[in-house]
Amino acid sequence: MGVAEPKYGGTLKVALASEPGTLDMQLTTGVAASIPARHIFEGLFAFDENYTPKPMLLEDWELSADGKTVTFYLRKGVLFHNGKELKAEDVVASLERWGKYGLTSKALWSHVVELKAVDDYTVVMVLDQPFAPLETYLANIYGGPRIYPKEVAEAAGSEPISPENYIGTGPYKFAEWKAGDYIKLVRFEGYSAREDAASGYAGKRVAYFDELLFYFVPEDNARLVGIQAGTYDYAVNIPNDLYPNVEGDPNIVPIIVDHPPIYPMALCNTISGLTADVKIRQAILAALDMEPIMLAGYGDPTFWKLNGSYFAPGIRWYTTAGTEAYNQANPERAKELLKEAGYNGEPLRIIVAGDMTAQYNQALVVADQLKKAGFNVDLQVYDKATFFARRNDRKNPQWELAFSYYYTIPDPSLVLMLSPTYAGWWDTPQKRILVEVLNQITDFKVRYKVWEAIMELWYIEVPAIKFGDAFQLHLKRASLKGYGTEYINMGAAPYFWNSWKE
Amino acid sequence: MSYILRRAAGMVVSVLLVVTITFILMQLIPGDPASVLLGPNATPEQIEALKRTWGLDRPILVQFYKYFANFFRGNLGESIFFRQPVLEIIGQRAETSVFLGIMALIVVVGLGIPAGVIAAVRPNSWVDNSLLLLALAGASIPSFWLGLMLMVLFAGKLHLLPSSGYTSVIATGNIANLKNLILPAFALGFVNAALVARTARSSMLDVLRADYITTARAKGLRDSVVILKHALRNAAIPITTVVSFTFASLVSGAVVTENVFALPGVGSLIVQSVLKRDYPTIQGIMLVVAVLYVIINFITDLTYAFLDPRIRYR
Repeated sequence: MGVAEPKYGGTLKVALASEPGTLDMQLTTGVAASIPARHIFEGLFAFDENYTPKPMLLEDWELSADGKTVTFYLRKGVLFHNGKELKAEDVVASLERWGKYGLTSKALWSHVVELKAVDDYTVVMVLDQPFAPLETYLANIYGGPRIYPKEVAEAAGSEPISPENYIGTGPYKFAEWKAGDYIKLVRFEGYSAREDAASGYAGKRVAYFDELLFYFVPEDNARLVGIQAGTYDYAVNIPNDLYPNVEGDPNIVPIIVDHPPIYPMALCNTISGLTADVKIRQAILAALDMEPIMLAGYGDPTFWKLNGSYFAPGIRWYTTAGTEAYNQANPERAKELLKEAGYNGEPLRIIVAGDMTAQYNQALVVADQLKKAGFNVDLQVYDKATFFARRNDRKNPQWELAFSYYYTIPDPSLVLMLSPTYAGWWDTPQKRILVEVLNQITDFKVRYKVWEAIMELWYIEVPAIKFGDAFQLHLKRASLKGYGTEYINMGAAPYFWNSWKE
Repeated sequence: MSYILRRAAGMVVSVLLVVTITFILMQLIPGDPASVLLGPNATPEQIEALKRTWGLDRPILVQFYKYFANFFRGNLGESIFFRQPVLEIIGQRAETSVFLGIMALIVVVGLGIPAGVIAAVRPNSWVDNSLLLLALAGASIPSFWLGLMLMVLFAGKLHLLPSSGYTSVIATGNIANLKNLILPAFALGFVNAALVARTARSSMLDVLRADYITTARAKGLRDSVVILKHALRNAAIPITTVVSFTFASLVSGAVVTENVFALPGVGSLIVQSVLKRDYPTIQGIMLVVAVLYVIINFITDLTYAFLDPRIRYR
């Protein structure tokens, strides 16, 4: 049996686990939003299957010798969904809005001195110092710089763009958002595809399906049964314990998203409360036995691996530096550290969202292990919105440990805990210097060394505690074919161009 | 007439109370739509900027005043997330919930009353006992669990009915879309059918022991006439009460069932709006539900008078 021939036509039905708040990706970091949005909007760069940024809307680009002037050459003839051609002014307006309001623009934008259109297809960006992860920042979709028409970007300001103005350059265009039900995209006939071979999100994109429908199906079992019944072709985030239900079903292909995985962690409040004392944070780290914690969160070991490094093995930023302090499972050592810290049984407040099941289950085990190490644990369970509001409240933080999980990001400069404004608020002089260097140096080998030093420091200052690498489970019908549906490299955010149904 | 006026005034007060309490409760819980929309990784400055754009940074009393000023002009505001007038959104999603409610009510009445009557006619027989057992099970099973089991069986294994979702019958003109609501309606209605069955049984048992039933039988009337005409009508008042209470539990049950079956109805809208802190939408839904509730209660009271001519309201 040879490789199946791609086929045009038909409708693809995808079951998402939640309804996004907006598809304006400059203003959201949500994965659920990114899945439909990725088909509508494009950036200057896109990641290939190795997470290397490759030009997407660009024909070419160049960096001056001093690393401070970047010239972008746009591809000609790229059309927006409203029929207008993509011009330099659109790029400038989109980047400017992103610089002001975008969720991941700060590190780069604080170095941008000038941004201007030289002609219709050339944009120049001047920086006050070299910025190593520039292409990564521009390729990133989560809170990242998607390119919109000038009018749309300028009119939107700080507010999310409303659906009728979802106009991008992608292979699918926005058709309908039926609240509580689905988002519908249709093929954009005027799409200007790249010539280079497809790889990850980069390269040539072909829209085989006429329509893509993204349904919002919050109930886990409904997504599972929907795949079994053929109601959906693809379903995201199936709880791992439902895996046995689909094993051996010839119509269903389970996709274990193990590369890259997600990273379950607990943030430590480094600025106030008990954990402001680094000894207490070290005591928590010393007490924890990671295996039961991962087992509680992710069940069958098919779906997780122990790993103390921020990045998973196989990613070029993986390092074992510092990780000897990971998984100590040593309550005695924890007790010693508590004594040194002069701990007097003050409550250790753990906050977690009850609707994040894996995190909740992990918090239960962590609470238990910490009790055994002598902590007086106060476990507080909230709904997501309350949890995040509490966790992000810097003025009056009412917690010591906050449970969450993180998607793999392509560059360490995007690691959220490195930002002093991010919950946990880790901001020591050593960290500041290392991060500054990480962002300026362009040579990978040097940056890798710096990242290793950051990991060493991470395990001394304990801004967060990583439990391991966890793998999500997605399901697809066997009839869904194509390069894009293999997802071996693109992790939890699938895409459906270059895919078709048999 | 004065009764109706008094009732109407009471209804208005209840509705205003519901709206006010909802407003206060929503302000009391932490979290806000700006941080939900921007996601967990937004900085406080970004969240504040968006709140300012939406006017959510103003003092609560100002927001409260603005809301009620608009409210009395018949303007319920715009949903923060959907950027549409709240009433329009509720309108779009009402179809699913109304059809689901009607079909669930058919299950409640169609299963509950006959089961109760049959059980009462043959008390303590095997039919009675098995119906009672079924009713007990029905009243104990949570509707979301029943829904999941039905979904696994009828959609996942047997492929007889769709597993989830619903496409408008009105917009497409395709009545076959109602089959998407069969499983949810059954899951939603079954619990209440069990309650109705038990009430119908006990109410019928009381009536069947009454002297006029003996008289009716003595006159030589057929069993069916005695039961359906003489007994059931007299047993109808408690049954009507339970069926009208059912409305309340259908509304709250719909919240769960619509989420389980991914139905775009008002129930799932409530959950999503609360989770996203979409204040105007929550307010709007609570208002509509409260209005419906008081109207149904009112209709129920009027029905009593119709069923039992001795009842007169003054």
